[in-house]
Amino acid sequence: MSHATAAAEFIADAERTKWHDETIFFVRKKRDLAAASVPEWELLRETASQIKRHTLSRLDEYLEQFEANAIRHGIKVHWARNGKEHNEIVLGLLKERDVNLLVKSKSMLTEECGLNPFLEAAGIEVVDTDLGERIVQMRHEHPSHIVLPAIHIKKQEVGQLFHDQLGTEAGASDPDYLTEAARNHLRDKLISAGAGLTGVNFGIAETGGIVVCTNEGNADLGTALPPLHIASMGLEKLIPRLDHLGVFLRLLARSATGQPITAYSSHFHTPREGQEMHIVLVDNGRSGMMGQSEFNRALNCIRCGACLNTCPVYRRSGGHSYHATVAGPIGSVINPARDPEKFESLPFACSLCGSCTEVCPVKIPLHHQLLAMRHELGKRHLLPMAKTVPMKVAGAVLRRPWLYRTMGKLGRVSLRWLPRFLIYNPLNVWGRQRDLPEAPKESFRQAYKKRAPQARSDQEKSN
Amino acid sequence: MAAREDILNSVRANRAANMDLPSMEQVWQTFDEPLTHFRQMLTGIGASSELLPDSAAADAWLEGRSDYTQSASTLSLVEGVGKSTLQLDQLDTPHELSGLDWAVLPAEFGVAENGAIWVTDHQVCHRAVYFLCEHLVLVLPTSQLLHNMHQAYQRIAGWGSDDRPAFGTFVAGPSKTADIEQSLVIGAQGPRSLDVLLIES
Repeated sequence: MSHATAAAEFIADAERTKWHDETIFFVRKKRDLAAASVPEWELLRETASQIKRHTLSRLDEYLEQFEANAIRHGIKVHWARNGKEHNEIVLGLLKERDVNLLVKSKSMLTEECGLNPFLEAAGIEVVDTDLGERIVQMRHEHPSHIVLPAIHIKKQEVGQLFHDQLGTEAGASDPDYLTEAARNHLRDKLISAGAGLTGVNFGIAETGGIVVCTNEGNADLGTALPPLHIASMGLEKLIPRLDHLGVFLRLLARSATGQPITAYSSHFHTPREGQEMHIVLVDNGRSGMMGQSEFNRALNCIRCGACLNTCPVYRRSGGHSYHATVAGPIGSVINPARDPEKFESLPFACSLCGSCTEVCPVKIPLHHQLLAMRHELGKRHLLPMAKTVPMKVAGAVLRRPWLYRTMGKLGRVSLRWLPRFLIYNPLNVWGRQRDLPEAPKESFRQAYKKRAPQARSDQEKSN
Repeated sequence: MAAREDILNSVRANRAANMDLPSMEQVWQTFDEPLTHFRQMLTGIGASSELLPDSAAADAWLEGRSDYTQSASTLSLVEGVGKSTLQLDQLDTPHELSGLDWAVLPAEFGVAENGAIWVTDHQVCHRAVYFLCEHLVLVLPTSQLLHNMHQAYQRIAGWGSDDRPAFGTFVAGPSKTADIEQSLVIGAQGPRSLDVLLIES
């Protein structure tokens, strides 16, 4: 399903669309205030960008360094070429230890790999412990935003969901009350889990450690209690040195939600006493994307969500319209870069306004990449006929002045005299949500010829 | 290990264009009154702070709170501040900390720019205590205040390369969430409150 088709479903509810748009733009405004509070904000962005680009220029060395240091600290490191291998590694670790209940903290990578259904099919209970992720999990949905997973859901719907599944009072929709119910439910799960799985915000080559940032404390509870900690990490999460975190932690939460820092920024470097710690390094198309020079800077992304929050298309179409793990401008680059056929409509879910590029904390040139991706899709003949046929026709007309003049005349006359149903026929995709401008009575050429001879000759002289 | 070799070969074959590492020696943000800014940030992130002359005053402050004195289970790892109804190093599993009302714990340093406080499990054998207690109190000498995150990482430089580096986290406020309609709720899965007792030094 194309983005436009899916978005049509979302915007059918005008009131919800407006709420979604305004709520997310409010987050964007909080980000602006936070960014303005740091005098060296632009220096931070530039520094972060350079660190990430440097890392990608010698990622193989940093991966080996990271692995060696992690092993030295008693962490086991696994490598997965794709999502399937990642899932099998995780399942193997859980099976070997007879784990029946896995608590997870936020990880877009495990979403990407489809870990939950895979483990559930193998009889393991998986509980997402981030509140927003738990809500979407209970609804059998996917997150619609990388930082605000349940932003598409209203509190009344959460109230109904919790009433059905957690036994909260019927009709109750107060966020404090519902969060308290979730707290009790999730703490029970966290305390009884046999293993905890986290994502990774940053992996540090120099030390072999990982950093996980959350507000709820769920990643910390999920790893401080059970005897097994598994961390799933995309290759691109690596940074060279510990002190580089100073740059990234200053940017991440401010860009994401406008907070000065998340409530917990936890540095894991060694298993607890009596605990095992495993890191699964996942490629799943990342190394191939590194070689695409036009798009590889998208791998610098630190998943703050600022580009989603500022995007006029994302805000008004909702994350699910993208049909991808990562939505919004960044998703519209990385998804088609990996699977152009499946995601050909995403680079067009964009007005090229450039706001995403302005807010990106690691300076990914997002709107340039979105434009370049359109070229790429054209080269691969993946554009729909609604885009290719009109371009071919326009090319044929514009090459022939006589034809251009004839078509212009035809257009001016027919737009004025044809009945509306003929102009806005099913082939006129552009006119579905828009009215064509009123047709002028004469062409520019005709108007120019009518001008006073003197004015014309002055004009020609000055040329 | 075929996957490892395949991935590393692919990464090697696809290296991005060369770019030097930027310098971390820059003019980073500092504050005329770091303590004032730190306390403002704490308020902003849902924590409270008290400026106290010494640990006796910190202890008296806790004893003056009825919600503290009336709670059934408390733990303190800061000498002279608060009391303990259990011994952390006597617990068989960290799960036994479930239901702990108050934990009074030492902090290593604070960061003025964002209100973050660095704590580790260096002398705290169950790090779960930071996250499982209902109410967290961190005790921090005012001399241990830094301006920004760059200074913070200078301060812990080398720590991650130790033979056995401790777990460390920046705690910034109580646990919180805004996952239901962006309404901020303090007290998600972790502690419901954070009090920072600043001891003048």
